Amino acid sequence: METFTQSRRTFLTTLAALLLDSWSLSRGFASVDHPADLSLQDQSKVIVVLCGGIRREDTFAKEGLANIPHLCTDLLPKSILYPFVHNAGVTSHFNTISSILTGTWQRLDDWGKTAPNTPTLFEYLRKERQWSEDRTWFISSNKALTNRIGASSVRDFGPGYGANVMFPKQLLIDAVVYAASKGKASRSADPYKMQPELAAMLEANNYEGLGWSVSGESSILNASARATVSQAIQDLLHANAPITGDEFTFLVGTEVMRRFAPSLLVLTFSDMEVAHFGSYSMHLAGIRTVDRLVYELWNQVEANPAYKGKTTLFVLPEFGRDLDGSVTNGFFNHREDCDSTRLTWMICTGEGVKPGDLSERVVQSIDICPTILHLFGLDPAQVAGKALSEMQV
Amino acid sequence: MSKPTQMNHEDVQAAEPPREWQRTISRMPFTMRPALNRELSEWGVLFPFERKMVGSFFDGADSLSAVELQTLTANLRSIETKMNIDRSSFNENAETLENSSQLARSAYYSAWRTQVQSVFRAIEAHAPAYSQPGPQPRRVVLLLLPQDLPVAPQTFSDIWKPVGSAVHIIGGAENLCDCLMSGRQDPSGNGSLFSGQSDNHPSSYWFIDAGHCQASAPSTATINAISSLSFTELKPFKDRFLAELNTIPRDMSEADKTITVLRQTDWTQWCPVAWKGQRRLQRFVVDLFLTGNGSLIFPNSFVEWGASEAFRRARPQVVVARFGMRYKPKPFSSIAIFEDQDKVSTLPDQDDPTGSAADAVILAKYVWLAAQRFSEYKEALCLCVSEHLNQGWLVLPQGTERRDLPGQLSAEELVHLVTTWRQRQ
Repeated sequence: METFTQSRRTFLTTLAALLLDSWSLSRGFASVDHPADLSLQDQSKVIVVLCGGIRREDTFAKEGLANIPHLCTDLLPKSILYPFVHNAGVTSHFNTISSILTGTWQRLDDWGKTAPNTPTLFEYLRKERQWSEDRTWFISSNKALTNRIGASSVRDFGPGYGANVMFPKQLLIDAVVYAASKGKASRSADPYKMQPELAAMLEANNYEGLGWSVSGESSILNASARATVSQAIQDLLHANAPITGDEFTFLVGTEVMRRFAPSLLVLTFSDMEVAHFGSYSMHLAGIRTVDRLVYELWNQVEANPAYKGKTTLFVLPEFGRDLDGSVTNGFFNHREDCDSTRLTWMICTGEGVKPGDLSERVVQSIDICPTILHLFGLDPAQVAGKALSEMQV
Repeated sequence: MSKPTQMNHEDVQAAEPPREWQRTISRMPFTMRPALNRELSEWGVLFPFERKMVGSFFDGADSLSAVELQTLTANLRSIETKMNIDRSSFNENAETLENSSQLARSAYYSAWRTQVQSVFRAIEAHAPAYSQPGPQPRRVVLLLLPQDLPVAPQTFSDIWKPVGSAVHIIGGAENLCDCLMSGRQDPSGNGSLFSGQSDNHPSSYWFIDAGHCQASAPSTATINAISSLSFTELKPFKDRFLAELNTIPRDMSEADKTITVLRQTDWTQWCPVAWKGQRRLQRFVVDLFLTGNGSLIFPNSFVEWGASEAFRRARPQVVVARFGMRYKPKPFSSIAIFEDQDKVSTLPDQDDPTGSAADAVILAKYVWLAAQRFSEYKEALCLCVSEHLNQGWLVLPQGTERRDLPGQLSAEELVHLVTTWRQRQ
């Protein structure tokens, strides 16, 4: 018999698969399960994992190693560690992630109202390499982002060359809140009574309203997927155990890998951002979840023929968090102009990496974009960051 | 150059700030105006300490000639020009999200912050002192981690050992809070921590409670004389406020409008009855909720942020911060919906003792660090007590003789030590 945790994981995996079914049907995508392009299986892959605001002292420091057992024991021996990665930009989520993706410090509206003003990795690669739409994906847990993260406002690039952007956690949140907020169900002792509200929501909305941020004329869930998703969410509602948004994001991400084998996949995790609410114990739990998920992600890479032996994985926090005793209330926030907030780390594993290597020079988080472009054989001059010389093609 | 004048008692008590201060604001660099205008527009709900501080700043600014002020602010004005701020959307009359966003995303933000601090420091150097001459009141910060929080001894020790002295509390610590707050069982008869010295304003004494345990709540008479905040008692207010806050669309200008409305709303009907007449306290809590930091969500975050803001805004003589229990996240709430667990699940709430203890230990330290940012608390006494461990850590002001401090005391003896220390001049 499955344990509850296994059962929950199985369920979430199923839900992730269903979401991808709906997605690919609506977009007319072929997947590598039924591949339109077998050559995808043989090409270089890059996966970038961005994991919110995490202080060095809670991770790669003596007192923090207990929070990252998989990173420091299982992955580090296979990786190059950059212990000093500097974020010189605006230490908000939208600006930092935009900066990493564009290789240029972005200074945009923090709420994602405007797109990056220089091209993203996705656009360079899709335009220069003439990649199809399904080869670049951005999948995120972060509520602070919008779909403008996937493409710049630059005229010759833009959404036509952008990534597929998905916010799976938002789907669940919106669905649950909607179901719970429809009066008669909200205070009911019987959670099954939520079912009609949830069904009505799925009938009434296309999945723009459910947290899918990609626009498209055919973005309406088909009836079968709608019913299944509805049932799946109901089942999830009745599960009496915490479920993290990052776990769901991870499962959607690995499902995308299995189906589409994208060449570039960016995942962002955000469970640790509960720090904004002041729970240090839950913040550390979020770090430990990311540690586990990154390790599982690498295991998936090793187990997937489309990825094994041809993938480079980048893992880094977006920034740190503020110092204890700061006017910005310490670990709650990431606004201070200090090393605790600006200086973080990165580990890179897989192809192009010398295992067990260490580069102690200070690198910039905007260096990641040109490094990835370099791995794919591009060298755009207009990117401000510099490719990391330790990473070989 | 005009002569600096000491802000008099009438100014602190006045219903309106002096009109000439508006003219002073117009002489300042435009990015400083929102904060200054906000202080004036909220004069009626500023604590006495804030009024003294604001008055002192304006006195200092007014003591400078036009040329002196121009020279002092030249670098800041130069940075303002480079920041290329959109003046049409920059609100000089109030601090807004739009203002903050524009400033924070500028490449010159860090330099701007440095210059603003520099201008404030220089003006304050020209200002009359806002604290009273003579001996300062002895201040006490009491941090309580109740019995039901299983504090890890090593963590507790790691945090406080570098600055404090451990005291084992003989016979248990559960009555300590009650004794300190009521003054009962103090053989010296020195009275409670809240017994007034020179200043009897409620903002000089704060009791901020996570609200889980009902023991040792202050008496009604005490509550009227202090600023008392209980997370549990504020639940109707908090729930109502959160519901309004959650209507904010994902648009900065709309968010600014909603925040303005929330600030101007009269929340009296949602507030504890004991707050009658304490308009400043209601406004303090609204500001607390609007500045976030988990104060609407988790009881221990409310206690930490409330105490930190009390230090900053009121410089109280006594702060008692009692932490408590939070619930475990329910299914789904851990995905992101921490705001109202009942909204997404009818499952009964379950305490999270281990997580609450871990949170409370670090947040208690944060309260102490928040106090340490201000010179008034360099000479304060801090006592952090874990009832679960029957242990307290006593942080004495620098220069205080510690050799005679016994390693173990009864709760009554500890009460006597703290109250006697506070009463001594």
